[in-house]
Amino acid sequence: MNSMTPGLRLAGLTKILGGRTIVDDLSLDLEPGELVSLLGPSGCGKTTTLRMIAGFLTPDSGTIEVQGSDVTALGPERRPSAMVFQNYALWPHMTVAKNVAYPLKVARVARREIADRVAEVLELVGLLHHADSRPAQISGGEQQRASLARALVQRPKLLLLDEPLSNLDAKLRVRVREEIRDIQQRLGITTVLVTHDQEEAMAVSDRVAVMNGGRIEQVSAPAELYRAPATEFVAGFIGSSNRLASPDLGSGENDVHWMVRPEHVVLLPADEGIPGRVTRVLPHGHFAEVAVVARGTELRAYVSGETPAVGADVGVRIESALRYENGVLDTRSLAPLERIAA
Amino acid sequence: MLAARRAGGRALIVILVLIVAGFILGPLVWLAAHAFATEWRYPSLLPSGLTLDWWRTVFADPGLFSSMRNSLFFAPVTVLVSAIVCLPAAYAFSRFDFPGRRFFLVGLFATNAFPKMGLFVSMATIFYGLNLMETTLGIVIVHVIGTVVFMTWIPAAAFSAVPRSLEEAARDAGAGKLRVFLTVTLPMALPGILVAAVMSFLASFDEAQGTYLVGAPSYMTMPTEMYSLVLNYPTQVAAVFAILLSIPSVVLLLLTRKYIMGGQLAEGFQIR
Repeated sequence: MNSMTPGLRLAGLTKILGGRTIVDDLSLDLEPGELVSLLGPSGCGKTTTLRMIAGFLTPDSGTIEVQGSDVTALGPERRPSAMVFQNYALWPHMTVAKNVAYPLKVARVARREIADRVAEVLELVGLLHHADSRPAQISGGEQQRASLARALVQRPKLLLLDEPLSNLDAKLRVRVREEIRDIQQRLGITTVLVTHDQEEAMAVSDRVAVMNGGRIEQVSAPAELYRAPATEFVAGFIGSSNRLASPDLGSGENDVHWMVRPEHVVLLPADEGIPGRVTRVLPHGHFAEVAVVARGTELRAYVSGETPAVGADVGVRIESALRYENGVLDTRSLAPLERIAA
Repeated sequence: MLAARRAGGRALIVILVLIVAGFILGPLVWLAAHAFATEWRYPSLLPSGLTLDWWRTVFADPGLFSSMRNSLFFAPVTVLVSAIVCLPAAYAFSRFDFPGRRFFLVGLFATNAFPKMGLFVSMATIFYGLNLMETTLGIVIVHVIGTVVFMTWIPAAAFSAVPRSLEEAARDAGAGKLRVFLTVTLPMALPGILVAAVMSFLASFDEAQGTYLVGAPSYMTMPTEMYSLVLNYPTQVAAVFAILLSIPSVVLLLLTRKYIMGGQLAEGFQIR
């Protein structure tokens, strides 16, 4: 694959529905074989974007290119993409094997080849023993994998996953997302995953695009997204954080906020740091979330090991804080706190 | 105490069931008894004698077999024509939002909102002008009019019950719109369509007034034949004919019950 040609290119996508701009001049390139998540709160335009990529919605402006060829004008049946739907969308009147064979039948693939490819892909997702079951007879996780098999059997150039795990219970979700990631990497398919679950996006993606109000706020590798959120929205949306006027808990400048991760709030003995008092303790197992009020501001801190009691006097030290001016990250604040203060 | 109350409750249920059963089955038993009775008049508790004479009378009627033939012709043709006319409309009502959608949907009830006889008389006036009186086409039109509501409303609900994502999944898999309809939407809506077809079949099979007005005397169906038998013979003949008339309906209901109540087609409804 020519590295100059992206696996998927979205250029200036805009969609207006009912007078509201749902997707606003959105551009994004995916490397071939890359998995990028569209992550955001409901109504941020991530699903609308995915439906435009799949061909169920026509963009009001902008273009969609898959491996260098423009598919913007094509209907969903003529696009080289395959989608896994949120509710699986398996056809209840067909067996699992028939569901998976459907795209090949439509494409007039020879019957022998259909049988081979269906068996191959069912084996890949571990559903060969359920080939003759109907969707209603298998579990949610298995339906999810059948739906994935139906997408993969088409050998798509682009795989679209629309909240594929949101109907599964928490344990299963973790397992199935690992399976999906594993298969995606083995087959090297360019993939777009839509999700509102940041943990899911962070766990499986090469890069995560955080969306808000129809725009992409930031596209970064998961670790980078957490370490250096480009905007205040991203900082608030990814992980948890304390939003402060100033890192010393005093009054700050206009239009400036500081974001502090709870793990960067360190609790000290009462006579050190900024004096504060514990107001709440929420145990999470291997750590506890401790709320402290210091200088009239409530702070959340993650504490592992021994946790202070509610009402105890403690000291607070902030180890690292990110500065946002008008909602945008001041990149100088990525350096350790002492250096900016100086 | 509790046991007594439970027994009392059970007794009440049994009594209610018997009342309902009597209400439904009573007339049928009355019909069956009359079909084989020489005479059975109030206040005698039992028929005065048993006979097969009434059956002989009915089977001797020269109009019987031709009326059966006509009924068995018009009912399926009506279902077919009605399906061809109404199913696309039902799909449109369920999937597209066009101007006047609600008006037309409710407007379909118009044929059922007025006294049937008035409707048929005015139709007959128009049919005279169009030379449709005493023609096959004329009768089919009359019958189809009576089935439009079933054939539109029930399938429209069935189409609406098919989740859009299932159609989208088929489009995404490469199928064109017609193919999506034939392989996904239609099979999934089939139980509803089947119900509508059965109801249309029975409506057509039992239709008497309009058929009489437009078709008689050239085209006599079983219900119109029964009308003339009731007028010319004792009640017992009508009872025999009523039993004959109910046979196809019962057979049809038994046949389709299997498909509607159980089996793979019912799965289409579980998704709702």
